[in-house]
Amino acid sequence: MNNCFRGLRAFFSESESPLDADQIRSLAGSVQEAGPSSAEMLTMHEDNIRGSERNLDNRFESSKKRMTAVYRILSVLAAAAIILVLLYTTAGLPSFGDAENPTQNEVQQRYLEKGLEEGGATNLVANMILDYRAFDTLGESNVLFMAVCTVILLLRVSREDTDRRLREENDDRHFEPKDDLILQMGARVLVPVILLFGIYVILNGHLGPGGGFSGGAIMGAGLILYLSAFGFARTERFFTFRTFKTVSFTALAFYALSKAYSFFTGANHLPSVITTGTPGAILSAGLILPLNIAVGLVVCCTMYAFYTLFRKGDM
Amino acid sequence: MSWWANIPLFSIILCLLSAALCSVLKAKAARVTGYTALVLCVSGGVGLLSGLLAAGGSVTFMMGHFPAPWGNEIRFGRLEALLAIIFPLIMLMSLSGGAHRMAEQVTSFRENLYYTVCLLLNAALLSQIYTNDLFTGYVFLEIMTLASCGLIIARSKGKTLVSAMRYMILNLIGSGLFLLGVILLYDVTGHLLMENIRQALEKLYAAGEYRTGLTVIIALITVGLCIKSALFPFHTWVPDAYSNGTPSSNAILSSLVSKGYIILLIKCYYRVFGPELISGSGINSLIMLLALAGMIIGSVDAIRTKQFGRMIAYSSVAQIGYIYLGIALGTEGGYAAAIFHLILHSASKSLLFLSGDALRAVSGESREFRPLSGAGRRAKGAGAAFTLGAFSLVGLPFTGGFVTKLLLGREALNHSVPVTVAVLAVLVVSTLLNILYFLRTVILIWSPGETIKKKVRFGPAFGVSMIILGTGILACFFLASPLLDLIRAGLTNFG
Repeated sequence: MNNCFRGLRAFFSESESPLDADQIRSLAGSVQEAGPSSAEMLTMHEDNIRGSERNLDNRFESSKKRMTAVYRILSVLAAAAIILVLLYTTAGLPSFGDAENPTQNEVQQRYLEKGLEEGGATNLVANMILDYRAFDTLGESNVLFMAVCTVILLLRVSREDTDRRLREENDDRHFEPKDDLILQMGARVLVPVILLFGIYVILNGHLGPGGGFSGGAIMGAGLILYLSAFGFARTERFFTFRTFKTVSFTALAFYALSKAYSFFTGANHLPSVITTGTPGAILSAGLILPLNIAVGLVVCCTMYAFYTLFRKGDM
Repeated sequence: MSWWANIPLFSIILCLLSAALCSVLKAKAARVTGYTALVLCVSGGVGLLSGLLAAGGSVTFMMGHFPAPWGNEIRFGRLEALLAIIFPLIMLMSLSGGAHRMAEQVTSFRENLYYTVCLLLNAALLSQIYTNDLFTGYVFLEIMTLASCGLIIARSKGKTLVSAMRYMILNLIGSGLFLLGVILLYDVTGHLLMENIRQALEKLYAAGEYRTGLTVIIALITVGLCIKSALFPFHTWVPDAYSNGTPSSNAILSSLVSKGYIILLIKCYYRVFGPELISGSGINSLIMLLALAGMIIGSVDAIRTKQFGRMIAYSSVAQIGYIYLGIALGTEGGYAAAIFHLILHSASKSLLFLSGDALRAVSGESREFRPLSGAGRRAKGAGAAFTLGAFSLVGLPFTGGFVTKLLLGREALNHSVPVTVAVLAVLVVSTLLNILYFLRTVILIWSPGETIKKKVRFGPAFGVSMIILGTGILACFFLASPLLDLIRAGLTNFG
C-alpha cells in the first residue's frame, strides 16, 4: 500500500515537470549545434536524463510502471464512458431532415425565402455567412490571422541570425529535391489552371457554390505547388514576407472597416450606400463579393505562409 | 439610439484594426499603437458605463441590418460595461508592468506581433463580454485559445514550447467539448441566440423532453469551460503555462484569459439555461465539490512547490476555486461574489506576477525561494506591491480578498447545514493554507539578505502599473459596497 502511494507520487511528480529548464536549454543547444545528426544527439541526451532519473528513484520504478498501466486503463475506460454517453445522447436527438425538427424554424425560413431579396446573392450560404452573420465571419477570418501570427512567432528566424538561416536552407534541401523535372512539368501545366480555378471560385462565391474560404485554399495550394517545383528563388520574385504582410493587412483592414460601416448603419437605422444590385449579376450582392475577395486573400496568404514557415522559417 | 451604444462596436473594431496594423509596423510603432488602442478601449468603457448608469437597463445592438435571430447581435448592461473597463485596463497594466522585460525576452523583430496577439485577445475578450449569441462566443473563444498560446511562445525558450504544447492540447479539448455542447443545444432548440434558446429550453423542460440530453449539454459546456479556466482537477497545465512566459504574458493569461471563459460560463448559466434548469441538473453540487477541493489542493500544491513562479501559479488554482464556489452557490449573491472575486483576482494576480518577476530580477533571476531573501529591501516598490497582492489573496482586512471571504461565507449561511459547514470549514482551512505560503514568502522577501546584487532599473511604466493595480486592490475593499451594488444591479439585466 505504502509502495503504491509512493509510485503514485513518483508518477505525478514526473508528469508535473518532465525536464529541468537547464536540461531543455542544453538539449535545444545541442540540436542547434549538431545540425543534421541532431536526432541522434537528442536521443542520447534523453537517455542520459532518463538514466539519471532511473538511478534517483530506482526503488519506485516498478510501482511507477504499475501506476502508469493503471492510469492508461483508467483513461481508456473514461474515454469509452464518454463515447457511450455521447452516442446515447445523439441517438435521442431529433432525426436529421425531419419536417418537425426544431431547426426548421423561422430563422431558416427567412434565410431561404428572403435571402435573395435581402442579401442579393444567389448563393444563399454566402448571404448567411457574409451578410446576416457577418460578425461571426469577421471573427473567423481573424482566427486565421491569429493562427498565422502564432506560427510566425514560433517559427520565423531573424534576418540577423545568418547561421541559423543558412542551416534552415540546407535542411530544406534534405527533403525537397531540387529542380525535379517531373514535378516542374506537372506544375507548369497545373499551376495556372489551379490559380484560375481558385480565382473563379472566389469571384463566383456569391453566384454559386464557393467563396473566399474555399477559393483561397485552392489558390494557396497552387502557390505551394509552384514553390515546391521551382524553389524559393522563383516565388520570391513576386511573394515575399513583405507581400504577405501588405496583402493580409489590406484585406483584414478592408473587411473590418467595411463591416464596421455596415454594422453602424444597420444598428443606427441609417441609410447605407451599399445596394444589393441585380441578383445573378457578377457585380451584385453588395459587400459579399469584395468580402469574399478579402477572405480569399487572407486564406491564400495564410496557407502559403504556413508552408514556407514550416519549411525554412521565413518567406 | 444614444451615441454611447455604439461604443462596444467601435472598441471591438478598433482592436481588430490596430491588431492588423501592428503586424505591419516596426516594434516601436506597434507598441504605441497597442497602448493607444487599449487606452481608447478603457475610456470607451468608461463612457459606456456612464451612459448606462444614467439610462439603466440593458441595450440590444444589431450587428448589421438584420435583427437577431437572423443577424448577429450584442447586448450590454452595467455589468458588461464594468467588465469592459476592467479587462482592457488590466491588460494595459500587465503590458506596461512587463515592458522593461520585453527587449530581453521577446526578440525585437517579433515584438510587433506580441501586440497583435494582445489586441486580438482584447477584441475577443470584449466580444465575449458583449455577445448575445452562443456561436459568436465560440468563434472568439477560438481566438482566445490561439492568442494565449501565442503569448506563451513569444518568449523563445525550450520550456515555453513544452508548456504551450500541453496548454494547447488541453485547451483544444475544452473548446471541442464546448462546441459539442453548442451543437447539441442547436439540435434540440433550433437557435443560437441566447434568449431564444432559453425560451425553447423552458418549453422542453416543462414538457419533460430530452432530460438526459439537457444534462449532457450542461455537462459538456461546463466541463469544456472548466478545463479552459483551470478548475481543479483540470488544472495540470496551469503551473507550466503561467510561469514560463514573459511576466506580461503570465499576468495576462492568469488574470484575463481564464476570466473570459468564466464570464462566458456565467452567461451560459444565467442567460441560456436559467437557474431552474441549472439547479435541476445538479451541476451546482459537482462544481461546488470541485471548487472546494481546488481551494484546498491548489494551496497544498503551492506550499509543496519549490519554485517561486509555480507557487503564484498554483495559488491561481485555489483562487479560481473561490470564483467557482460563488457560481456553485447558485444564488444571485453567490454570482455577485464570484464576479467580485473575478475582478479582484485579476488585479491581484497580475500584480503578483509582475512584482514577483521584479523581485526575481534583483535576486539573480533564480527560480528558487532562497535567493529571494531580502529581495523586498533591494526593490522596495516591487516588494510592497507583492506584499499587498499576497495580503489581498490571503484575505486580510483592508484588502479586497477580505470582502470576498465575507461574501462567500455569508452566502453559504443561506444553504442547508451540511453545505454551510463544508463551505465555512474549507474557507477557514484554505485561508490558513494561504497564510502559510504567502506570508512565508512575504517574510522571506523582507528578511535581511544580501544587499549587494545587480542593480536593476524598472522604469516609470512599471511603477505606474504597480500603483494602479495596488489602488485597485485597496479600492475593492474601501469601495466594496458601491462596486457590489453595481454588480448586483448589472446582474438583474444580465439574465
